[in-house]
Amino acid sequence: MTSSAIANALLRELSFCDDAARPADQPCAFAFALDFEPGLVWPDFAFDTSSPLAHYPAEARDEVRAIIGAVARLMGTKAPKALGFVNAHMKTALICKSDAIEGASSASNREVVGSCVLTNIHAPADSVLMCTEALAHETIHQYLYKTEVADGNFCDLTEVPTYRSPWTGNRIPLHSFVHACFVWYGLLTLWCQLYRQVGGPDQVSPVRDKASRAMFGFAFVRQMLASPAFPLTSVDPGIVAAIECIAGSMPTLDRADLEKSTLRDSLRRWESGDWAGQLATGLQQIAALAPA
Amino acid sequence: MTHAEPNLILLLYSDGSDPVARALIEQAARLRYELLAMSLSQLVDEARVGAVWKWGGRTIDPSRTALVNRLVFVETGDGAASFLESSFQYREFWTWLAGQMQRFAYVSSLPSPVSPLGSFGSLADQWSELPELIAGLRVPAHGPAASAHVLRGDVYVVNPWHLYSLGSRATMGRESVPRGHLAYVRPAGKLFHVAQVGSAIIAPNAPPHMHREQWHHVESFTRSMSALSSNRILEHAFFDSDEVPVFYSTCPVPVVTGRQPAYADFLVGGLNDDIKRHSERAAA
Repeated sequence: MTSSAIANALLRELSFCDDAARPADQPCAFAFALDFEPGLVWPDFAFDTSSPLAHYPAEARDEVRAIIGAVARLMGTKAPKALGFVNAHMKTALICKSDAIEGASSASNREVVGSCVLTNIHAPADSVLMCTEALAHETIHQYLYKTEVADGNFCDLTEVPTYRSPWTGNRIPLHSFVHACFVWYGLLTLWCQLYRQVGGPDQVSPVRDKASRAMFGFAFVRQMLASPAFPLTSVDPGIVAAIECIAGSMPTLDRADLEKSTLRDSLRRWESGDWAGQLATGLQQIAALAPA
Repeated sequence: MTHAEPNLILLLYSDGSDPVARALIEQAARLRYELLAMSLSQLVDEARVGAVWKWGGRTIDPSRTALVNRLVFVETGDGAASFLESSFQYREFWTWLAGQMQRFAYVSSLPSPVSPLGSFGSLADQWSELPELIAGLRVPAHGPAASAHVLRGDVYVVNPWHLYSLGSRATMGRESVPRGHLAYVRPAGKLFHVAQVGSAIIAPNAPPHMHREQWHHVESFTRSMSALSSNRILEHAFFDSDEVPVFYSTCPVPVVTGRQPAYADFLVGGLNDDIKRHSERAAA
């Protein structure tokens, strides 16, 4: 497979904007195992995942199961391609709690392909959306790891130097930055899909806000790639082209509207407008136009 | 006049007390091109910012305008976004700015993911990235705050986003170190500051005993910054040293040198020169 074929496959597989309905034989449930008492010590982690102190007590586990069940129902009914994707690539989720991590968090590691750690997922007020994001995020990592094992790494795997993620602000190595571009692309397509499917402003607003956060980072990706500090030659050219394609597809304020309105009024209209729906259509086109 | 040469300088500012905005407004008559100063509220509530910008009866053609970006508000934190109605609008404003500013014939700094003013980020960013780009640049030995005990020397702990703080000596217990702080070995010498506009520099508080090699090191650093960086207006801090100076930070706001009487003259001359050179390169 050529590098552009791999990159195109990523654009297609990681796009969850899909009008197809859930197959009748696909249950609205996750297939991966929930491991509440992992024996595995997760590599390079903030706490010992095998410690009993990191395990939810038995009476607290139903709450976590309920959150994950709600995520499966949300994906199954509104974003079935995402549910199928998680079920295809995630095998086990280690379910932990810890004071060593502030709030809810999730993690993957290329040494443990097929598994992830979900920590403190009971904590946030919007636990279902948070867990939706975490599971999609970590499953995308599993897919990327598997692709790299099969077809070669997307870039140099050295841990230094590090670069600031335009999404999280964290300093991360080059390979994490490259993964982040595809993770945030996948998440963006998922939020756009949910935006089109959920009803009512109470549900639309948080989904649209998450899409906006995902979009924000892409506004700076091309600037980062062009920076003399960025080792562009250490990244597969097909992967670079795919990232540039994603970054170039982000919508911005309507210029025609700006000709006749103030910036404040345009921003108001933009916020309440259908930009996420238009973006969903644009993202679907990117995936559809990426040849096999 | 070449096609690429601007005929106007548009100053976008959010704080009239910013040394750069203040100096440009006060010294407008000495600039090579006419200055139009537009505040943040005028940008958001009055201007029409389409293919060309229209404001106060004026038409501003970005392709013929040098933009001086002094939208410094974000450095004060999230509360600074209160001029808009939601965090969504603020993010969209920020990304719109990032795209829009690239349309101008010259821009003094492009927005970055950490700042609409554009910057090299935190001390951690600067100490990690700049030595990779600029051969021979010395930065303090450093690591996460929790590693303070393994660093040797006069170890300080600092919030890496406070570019003008040296932090405090690392005497506290590890458990009380704030999250996200950085530990570093503070060099022995005093700090001095270098203002840079394009390739022009002044160092009003440079130690008088600096010898030629040390000064050459500073000049070499600023030449590299001028060549590498889209941030044209900067202030750098160095520790004086027996050997070559040790870089501490670079900031797009001239907090120290901007207070010097000579700064306004320096800024006007440096900006005139930088815009002219940029337009000559663009026309070549």
